[in-house]
Parts: sequence; C-alpha cells; structure tokens
Amino acid sequence: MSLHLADRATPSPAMAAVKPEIIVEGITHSYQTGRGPVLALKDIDLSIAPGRFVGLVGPSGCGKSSLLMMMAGLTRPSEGRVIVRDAPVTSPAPDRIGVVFQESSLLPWRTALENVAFPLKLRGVPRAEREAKAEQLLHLVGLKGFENRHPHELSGGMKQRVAIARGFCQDPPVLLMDEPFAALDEQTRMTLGDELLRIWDQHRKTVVFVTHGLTEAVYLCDEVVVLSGRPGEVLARIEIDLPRPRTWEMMATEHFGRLRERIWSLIRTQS
Amino acid sequence: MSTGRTRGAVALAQAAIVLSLFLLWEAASRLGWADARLLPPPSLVLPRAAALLSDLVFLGHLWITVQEVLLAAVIAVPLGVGIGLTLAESPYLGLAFKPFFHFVAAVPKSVFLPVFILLFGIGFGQKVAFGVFQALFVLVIATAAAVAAVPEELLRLARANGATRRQIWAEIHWNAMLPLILEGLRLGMIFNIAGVIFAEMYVSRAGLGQRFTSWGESFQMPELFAGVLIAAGLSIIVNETLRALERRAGAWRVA
Amino acid sequence: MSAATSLPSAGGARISPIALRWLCLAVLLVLWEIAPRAGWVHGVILATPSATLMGGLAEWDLFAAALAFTFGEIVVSLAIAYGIGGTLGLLIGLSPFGRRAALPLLSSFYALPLVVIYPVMTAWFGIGPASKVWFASLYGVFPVILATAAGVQLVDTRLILMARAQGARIWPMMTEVIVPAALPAVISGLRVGGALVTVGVVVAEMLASTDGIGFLITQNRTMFRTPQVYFGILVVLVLAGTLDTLISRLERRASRWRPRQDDSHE
Repeated sequence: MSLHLADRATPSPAMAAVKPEIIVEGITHSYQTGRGPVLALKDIDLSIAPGRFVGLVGPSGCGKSSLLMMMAGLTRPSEGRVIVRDAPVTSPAPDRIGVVFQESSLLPWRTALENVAFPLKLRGVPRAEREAKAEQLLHLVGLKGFENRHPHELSGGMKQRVAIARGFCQDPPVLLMDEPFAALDEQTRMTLGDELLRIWDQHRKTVVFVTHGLTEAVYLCDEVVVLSGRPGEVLARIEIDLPRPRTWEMMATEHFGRLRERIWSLIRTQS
Repeated sequence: MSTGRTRGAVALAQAAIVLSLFLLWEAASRLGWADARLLPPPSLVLPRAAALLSDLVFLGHLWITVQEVLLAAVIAVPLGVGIGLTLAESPYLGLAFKPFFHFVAAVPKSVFLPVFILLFGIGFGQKVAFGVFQALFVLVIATAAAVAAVPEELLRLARANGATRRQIWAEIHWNAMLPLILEGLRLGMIFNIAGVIFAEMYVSRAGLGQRFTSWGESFQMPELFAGVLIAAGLSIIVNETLRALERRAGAWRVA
Repeated sequence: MSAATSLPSAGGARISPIALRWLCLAVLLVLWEIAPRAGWVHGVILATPSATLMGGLAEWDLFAAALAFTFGEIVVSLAIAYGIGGTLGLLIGLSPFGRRAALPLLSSFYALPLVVIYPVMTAWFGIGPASKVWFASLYGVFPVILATAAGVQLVDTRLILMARAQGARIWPMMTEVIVPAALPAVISGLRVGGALVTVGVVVAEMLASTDGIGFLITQNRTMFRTPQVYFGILVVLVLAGTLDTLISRLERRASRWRPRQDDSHE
C-alpha cells in the first residue's frame, strides 16, 4: 500500500540528522477474542524527532490508543518494541514518559494539589518539596487558587489542566496524550489547546497526541500520522507546515483547509 | 457476559469448593487434627442426617418449625406488602411513618424475644408472632422501595395512551415492582426462619431449635451437626428458589 | 389515638408528618405507661416506662458490669470480623475467580440461619466469652467480606491505569487507589457487620452464658422481674444505636470527597 505522501519509515529530511526521541519498531499486535485472534496493529514503524508535536489519527478502532499504551509501557505488543531515548520501553517509565488520559483519571479523594503531586509521592519525594512543585505546576496551567479543590468541584477543562500539570510533574522528555480533550466541549477544547501549546513552547517536549479531531490535529501538531482501519497500519505522515505560534485565524486559511482535507480523504477511504 | 459455558464452569468450580470443604472436614476429623468427639466427620454426620429424616419424632419437630415459619410468612407478607403499599401511595403517611420502619428494621430485633414470651407464652403462637415481627419490617421497606422504583416515564406514557388504572397496575406496576418485592420476601423469609429457630432454641417444648439446644446440652454432636446440615439445606432451598424467582422476575432489568 | 385516626382529605388542615409521627409515639408512650397501671395489661407482661427505668437504675451496677462484659466481647468480635472480613474481601474482590465462584457461595452462606451454629460453639468452647466471640465474629464476617469485595470491584479501572502509568507498584496501588476507592462500600459493610456482631453477642448470651447483658435479660425473665427485662432490652438498643452512630459518623467522614449523592434509601 504505497502512497506518494511521505515515506512511512523515514523522518522528513530536515530531521534526519538528529537522533530520534521515540522509535517504534515493527510493532504488530493481535489479541484474543471469543471468536479467535484479531489483528489490531500491523508493522508500525515510526521515528519521532525530539521536540516534535506529533498527532496520531485514524478511524475508530484502528488501534491508535493501543499504540499509545504500548509507547507508555502499559501494554506489551505481540511483536516489535518501542525505544525512548535509546532505552526500550517495557513498563511504565514516568520519569521518561508522561501520560495524560481522557477525563476521570484524577483521584477523587485527593485535592488538585495532591493529584498533581501524586507521581512524586510515589517516588518518595517528601511532602513539602512535592507540594511546592505541584503548586508551581498548577500555576503554570492557570489554576492558581484551586489547589485545595477536589475533582468534583472542578469543571472538565480544569480537571484536564490538573492532569496535564501532573504529566509535567516529573518533567519527562516525552508526553503521550490519549484524546485528552475528547470529553470537553469545543470552546474548552480550543482554549486548552492553546494553553497546551503555550506550555509546550516553554518546555519543548516530544508529544504524541491521539485525537479524533482533525481540526485539533492540524492546529496543534507539527506532523500528523494517519493510521488505517483495523488492522492499523501507517498510511501516511503529513507534515503540517503552518508557522508557529499557531493562531485561530490560521484555521480560516485555505492551506489549513487543504491539510485537513488530505487527512480526512485518507481516513474516509478506510471505513 | 457469562455464556452457558462460563456459567457451567462457575457452577463446577463452586461444587469443587464445597466438596473440598467437606473433604477437609472429613480429614480434620479422621486424622485427629480436631477432636472427633467434638467434630464428627461427614461420613458419620450425613448418615445420621438421613436417619433423622426418616425418624418420625424428628420429623414431627421439623414439621412444627415448618408450620410456624409458613404461618408467619402467610401473615407477614400480606401485612408487610399492604403497609408498604399504603406508605408508598400516601406521601403524607409515608413521610410520617417510613422512618419508624427503617429505625426498627435497623435495630437488633432478636432482643425483643423475652417480650414475646411474656406476651404469648412459649407455645406455637409465640413463635409465629415472633417470626412475623422479624419479617415484617424488611417487607414494608422493600415494598415501599418497589413502588418508588416504578419508572415515572412509563407511567406517563401509559396515561398518555389512555390506559386505565387497572391496566397501568397490571402492566407496569406489577412487573416493575415484582423483583424488589421478591427480594424483600426472600430477606423476610431469612429473618423469619432465623427468628423462629432462635425462639425455639431459647425456650420451647418442641421444634427444630429445641432439638438443637437439647443436643448441644447433651453433647450429642453427630445429631447436632446432622440437624445443622438439615436446617442449612432447607434454608438454602428456600433462599435459592426465591432468588431464582427474583431473577426471573427481574430479567428485564439491566444489572 | 384520636388525632391520628381522623385523616382529613386534601384541603383540610393537617399537622405535618413529622408532628404526626411524634404524636403517635407520644400516645404510645402514654398508653405504655397507663395500661399496666390501669390493669388493662398485667404488670408481669408489660412494665411501665417509669417502672422500667426505676427498676433498672436501681440495679445499675449489675447492668453496668454486664454491659462492660458484653462490650468487651463485642470489641474483640469486631476486631476479628473486620480484620478477617476485610482481608478476605480484598483478596476475593481482586481475584476474578474469587468474584465469580466464591462470592455467590458466601452470599448464600450469609442467608443461612447461623444461630443454629451456636450450640456447636458452646460444645467446643463452653459457655464463656470465647463461644460468644467466635459466634459473633462468624455472624459479622460475611457482610464485611461481601461489602469489601463489592467495594473493590467498584474501583474505576481508569484510575488503576493512570496509577500504573505513574509507575505505582502493588503496595502504593493498594493504599493510594484501591482502598480509598473501596472505602465507602467497605464502611457500609462495617456498619452492617457491627450490627450483626452486636446481635450475635447478645443472642448468644441470651441462649447460654455466664455473664453479659443477654444473660442478665434471660435471668430476669426466668425470675419474672419484668421491669429489669425491659431495662435490659433498652440497654441493648442503646448499645446498638451508639455503635451504629459511631460507624455512620466514620462513614460520613470517609465519603467527604464524594459529590453530594441523593440517595434517599435510609
């Protein structure tokens, strides 16, 4: 299945000289169901340069979330491996890889501050130190003053800000985000998208961002990896050559529209 | 998501657990881990239970207990359901008296047994009255809850379609309420049986409980264990039958 | 009972339901006091509230000693029931096999009239406190196991995934995620377990004992000292009520982080 778009395995020429931050090598994954094995992912090879904001899109059920879970070390692929910064990923490595999930990943019985400090608590960092750092991070995501609120007192957008702050807590070079804004309304999504870009700009992490939203993908990312329907294969890697910092006016440009259309036409053929 | 096969596997596993417990019991008794006089092995207890079930004297006692339980149920169920319906139909009465029933239900009712003895003596009637007392409150609460559980939208739908009161009752109320009332019935029977047997153990001239007390006092352990197994077996039959009915009635419910 | 029987139809002036309830209780209380005095009921069957209190308080030292004895048995039984029940519930709740096979068995066992086990306990342990403790622990352990297992099942799997992503090992996973999430359900199990332990101890003491409130009640009954019987029952009710209030206060504190849920069950 060859397309004239960027060759799946090699990164774009400008990046070839730099050592990749994330390498996904030959991942093929199948799982058992009552009716026999199902092939979920096939021959996924990706190489992501440091500091890139990469989107991962595809039709529903194409395995993009599963792929992300493998990158996070939460699932083992049937075949293949993930390498982050020269070290293979076999189990969660929160100091190297931060993960932000959809809503509801905050401990409901802890305050926002305690939730952000949670990873540090697991590392045994003393209370004063970790809460100071957590306070800093909450300030960074714009939640100053909400430290002692419990999740049920926070809106969906605020909860995700807390989740993002937590993701930054151990300052991992890689940040994996699994449809973090999916459960939010569109306005909040756009605001948080800008927030995320602002923070990302200050601490250039390598981000892999799974989403269903094509507009979101084009707006936020440096490049978008399109997966096919099950079994998920890399269909294309589309470079988003919009200038940074991104602005909402760009969404109205023809270029933006064409990029979106390219992605959509690829996905559309998959269903 | 249990297919027929998984349910069969589970039943098998459960049977295996029960069987291994019996085997453990047998081993403990025979191998001397426990004193065989205090813990007679199943190989002794089970034949004794069979013997009891063919002994007319024992059956006489068992029959008395069964009659007490049944009579208590026959009184408690209409009474409990009736009161529950009244409390549910009238918000005024419900607000006034439902907390009272909740309160008594939460209280250790067994401690009132001496009052029943003072009131009714130690005969058949007292056991029945006590059984009714034990079962009544959970029935009232379950019935009231059942009425509250009828989905409002369905009632509106029926009325919008011009259904008569009787039709609404038969089609909607009955089906929606049945599982919860059956659950109340099951719990009520548990309290009923336990209450009657306790009353018989406490002071009685006849009945299953009286036999237990007498066997315990004279250290007739095989008979005691046999009696316990019989009582357990009968209770399980009652409980599981009602649970099966409850499940059938509630099959349309999601979880 | 005049105010209660005349229920006016909609439109008439009514007293509030709460007032009605208290009115009925007050009327009952008054009747309770009058009936034996007026000879409607024999004093041996029904002791007036005043006689109950006076008769009981006159022998308060006896009751207090018995209460202390019973309380001790309850505390030990609670420790055993909670400890074993909590641990077993946790293990069973975490294991899929346990959940599917063992839980239904336990719940069937729970439905048995466990009171029939007590003669076995007395045969094994005598009629001292040991038999009460073993019996009451057995009585109370089932709801704790069932509630704990249920609570563990309620834990949001997404939280577990998140904690794993943060590199949580098994012990922090338990203390930070599973136990706090299961806690409200567990505590309601503790409440039922506590009530059953109390009943178990008192029932056992009533049946065969050397001391304790249940024993005192039985003793007074056989001697037809009715006011003391009623007083004993009252003491048991207060004991059970106090324990329940303590635990429900704990329950409220453990659920403080939850958004207000409108559960008008109890």
